Amino acid sequence: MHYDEARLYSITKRIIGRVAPRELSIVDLVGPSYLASLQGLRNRFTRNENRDAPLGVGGGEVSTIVTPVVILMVYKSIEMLAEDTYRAGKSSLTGLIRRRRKHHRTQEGQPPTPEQLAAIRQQTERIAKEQGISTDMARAIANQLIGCLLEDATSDD
Amino acid sequence: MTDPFEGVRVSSVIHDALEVASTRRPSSGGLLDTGSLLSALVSCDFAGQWDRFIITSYKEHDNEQREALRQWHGVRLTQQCAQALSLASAIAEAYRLEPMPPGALAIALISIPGSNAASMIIGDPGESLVSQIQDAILGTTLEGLTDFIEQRTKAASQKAPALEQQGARQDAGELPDGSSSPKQTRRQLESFRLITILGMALLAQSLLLGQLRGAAELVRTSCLFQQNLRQATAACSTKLAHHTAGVAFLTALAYYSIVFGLRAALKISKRSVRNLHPRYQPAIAVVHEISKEMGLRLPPIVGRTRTGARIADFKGRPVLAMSEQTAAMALLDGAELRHFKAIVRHEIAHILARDFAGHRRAKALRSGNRSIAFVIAVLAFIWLPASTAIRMSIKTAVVFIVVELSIRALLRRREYLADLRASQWDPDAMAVVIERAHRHSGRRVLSLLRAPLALHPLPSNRLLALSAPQWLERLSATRLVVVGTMSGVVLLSITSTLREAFAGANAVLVDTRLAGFIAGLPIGLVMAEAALSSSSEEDCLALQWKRTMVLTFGLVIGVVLSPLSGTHLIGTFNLDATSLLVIPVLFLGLMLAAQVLSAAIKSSLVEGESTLPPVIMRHLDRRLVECVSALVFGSVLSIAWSWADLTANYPDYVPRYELPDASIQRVLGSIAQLVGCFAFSPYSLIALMLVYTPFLYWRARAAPELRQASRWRSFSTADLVKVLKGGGILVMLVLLIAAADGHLSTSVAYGGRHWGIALLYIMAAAGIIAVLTHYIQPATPWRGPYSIQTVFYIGLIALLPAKLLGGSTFSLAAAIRATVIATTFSAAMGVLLATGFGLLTRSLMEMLQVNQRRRSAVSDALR
Repeated sequence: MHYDEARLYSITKRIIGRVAPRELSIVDLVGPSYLASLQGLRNRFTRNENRDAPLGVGGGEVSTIVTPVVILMVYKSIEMLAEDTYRAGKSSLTGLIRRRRKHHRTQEGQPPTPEQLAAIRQQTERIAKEQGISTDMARAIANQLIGCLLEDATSDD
Repeated sequence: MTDPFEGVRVSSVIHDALEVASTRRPSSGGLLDTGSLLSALVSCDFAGQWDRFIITSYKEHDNEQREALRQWHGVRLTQQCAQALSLASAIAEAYRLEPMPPGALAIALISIPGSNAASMIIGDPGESLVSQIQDAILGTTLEGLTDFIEQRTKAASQKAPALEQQGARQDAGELPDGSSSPKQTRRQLESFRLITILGMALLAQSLLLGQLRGAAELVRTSCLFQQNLRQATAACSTKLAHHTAGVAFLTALAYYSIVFGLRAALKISKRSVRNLHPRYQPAIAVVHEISKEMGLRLPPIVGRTRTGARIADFKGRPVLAMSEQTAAMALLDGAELRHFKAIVRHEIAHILARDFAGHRRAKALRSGNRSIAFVIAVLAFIWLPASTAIRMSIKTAVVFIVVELSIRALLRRREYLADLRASQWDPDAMAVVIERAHRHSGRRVLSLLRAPLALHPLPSNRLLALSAPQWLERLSATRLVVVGTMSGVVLLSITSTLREAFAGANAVLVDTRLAGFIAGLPIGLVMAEAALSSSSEEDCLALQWKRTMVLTFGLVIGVVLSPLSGTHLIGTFNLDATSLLVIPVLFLGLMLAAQVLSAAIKSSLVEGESTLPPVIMRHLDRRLVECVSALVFGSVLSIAWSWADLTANYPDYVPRYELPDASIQRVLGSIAQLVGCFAFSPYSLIALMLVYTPFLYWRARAAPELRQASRWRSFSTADLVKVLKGGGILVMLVLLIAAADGHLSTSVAYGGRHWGIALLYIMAAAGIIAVLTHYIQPATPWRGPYSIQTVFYIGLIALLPAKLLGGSTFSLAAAIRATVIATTFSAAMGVLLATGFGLLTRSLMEMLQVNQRRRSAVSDALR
């Protein structure tokens, strides 16, 4: 199961289509190339620390738009799965041979384990809290994300 | 191959466009041509109004010479493209456009004969393309640009063979001629010139202070001979304190010289602005639309931040930074778009009020205080006894807290005004935005506890102010108590008598003089904020004016009601505490003066390029007003500091003010004392306000285009006449009271506790204020913070600490007389300064306009 840009974009679009369908136009406008750089996403979204900035609107994030946050969640989850695969591969002889180029691959044909899904859910809710997304919406996004990951694994099989 | 952009700073948009264009080159190792660069520039520059032009596909045109002589970052350029980049560099350098804006590159691309870009773009046939691009893309008009371009293109065509030879030599591995970059040389010269100006100004000031200090030392020597041993010991202690303050002063001098001087010269910016992703172009378009709607002449740079939206400062230009989530709101229709517009309006209201500049000044004051206080504390622990050092450290700590709280209170006040201005278009959307912004603010109890430190008011208060703007005009008991108490304490604590009262009680460690400083600082900040930020708010000018007036009158009432003794009006004031306020202001003024002087010198000295950069021309009036005001203010303060030191520490040398006397010596002594009073009290800030307002008026008269702008409509000639008449009436009434006091003084001046007389004075003062307030501002309400009642209450509250802290032993009549005369003196000084510097400003502006007209005539004749 290889997560290229198109597939990431597809997952993001599916989640947005289910939790916030009116934001689909934003996803279309943003496009797949926006998702190309994980480092860029890291720079764009960090912990919501300085909420009361001088000469601002006050408080924290004003927008209730979830698209950018969903993109971040999807990427973080994929990254987490890739890290797990990397660690698992590193401990074996095969992994030692392959470890250079395996950052963006999960274990082929194997759906995420329950531990991984729990970790993804936890991470998703943490990001949602940091970015000011409501608890209900965070749970809905986490559910959709997990569903998409499982669906992808099944379709690959 | 040489790089045409070597040593030139270009904007990020140009950099992006070059990168994009280099990726779009034909795959057969093609050269970068002007057409592809123009196409990429259009796709990357969202600030420009490119929709005013028809841009055809660049593939249809290909006339450029495919012989690469120059390159950019390894990308080979066609001859026309290389010429265009060189021309853009020359334009940016000649007109001081740093970093090079996209408009300069666009003009250069279409100005090269035979370039693909020139054949791709179609504009309005009735106007030249260069002027259209200046208007739509560059955002300003560069005088004589067409002639400049013609000269450069001719010179470039003559240099082309030489360039070919040079390129061939470099390709063959030969080194280029070793000449230094003119850009670097210019920058070095600029730095040197600025630092020289700054250094000379500081040297002159130090010499002046040194002279005054030398005079003080002479007096000190004579005093030491005359006094007994105990007094000599006290003098030594004073000397040590003076040394501490002196070193602190020198350290601060070095600090501000380095920070402000180098920063002004080299334009060091601590924080770079990150670009918003190009896909959020609709958000940028909305920002431009709302900027135009709200009357902002130049839309802000749109940048990216991590959370919400805020205004940042990028080298003097406002940046509207917003998060991607916020920018994404503009991509939707309906409610989200309305809310996005409300956010943008709020931020642009901050820009219109020039809050970002005020915030920058506040940060400078804060950082300066921090460094100076550190030096003071360290030196105090080295040189002074432990108890004194601890006391001084407590002082500085308290000053920090007060400065911080004052700055935050001012920022909160600005938020109310921004909310109100933004809500004029869509109040409901603004209310929703406020509610959303504070949805994560936590429990209300915690919010209340954090309120004094918060940068924004409580959401409930913001919503209340939106729904009922008159709520801002309410009679706030807290504000009354704070302002009134501080007004009273500031005047009381600068008397040395109160120190004795505290020493007798032996209950307070903090010196009472510190209380004066603490109390004076927030008032000073409020006054400065009211005076310095009133230039840009079209409908808030009257509001600022009223605010300044009410604070002034509140202070005057505080002065009048405070039982000061005329003989102790100055008292002793610690140099260390003074330096915390005086030195930052002084250096701020010097920095601004150096900027303007440097611009003027550069424009007059650089041969053949005597046109002031348009950006500086546009902001010269504001910079000039600020720098002159701050310079005068700082100089008066520093000179008066030395005079006050003399009068306070050597009272036998400088006669004190007691009663008007025919003796010349006494009159001189009284003047010196009043100068000291002028320096150490908020009178100097009142004078600053008096200087500043006529400046605005004269600037408006000197520049007809500004007079036509909406912000000047609220301040007409009639208003100025009213102000001047009001000032004259104030002087006359004060003199009348002083004359009446002459009759009363023999009977009540030294009797004390004549409350009937005191009440008479209070009523007289209230009457004066009532007449003046309603004469100058007929719409002044009888209720609210600007009303007579408020001012009166502030004065009464100011009386309380005076009476509680030993005021009963002083003569009210003498205090009133002294303060009334001091007020008159301050007002007269303010009017004189306003007249003098107003004339100076007008003359300078007229001179610049004449020069401009002359240059236009010359360029027309040449054309």
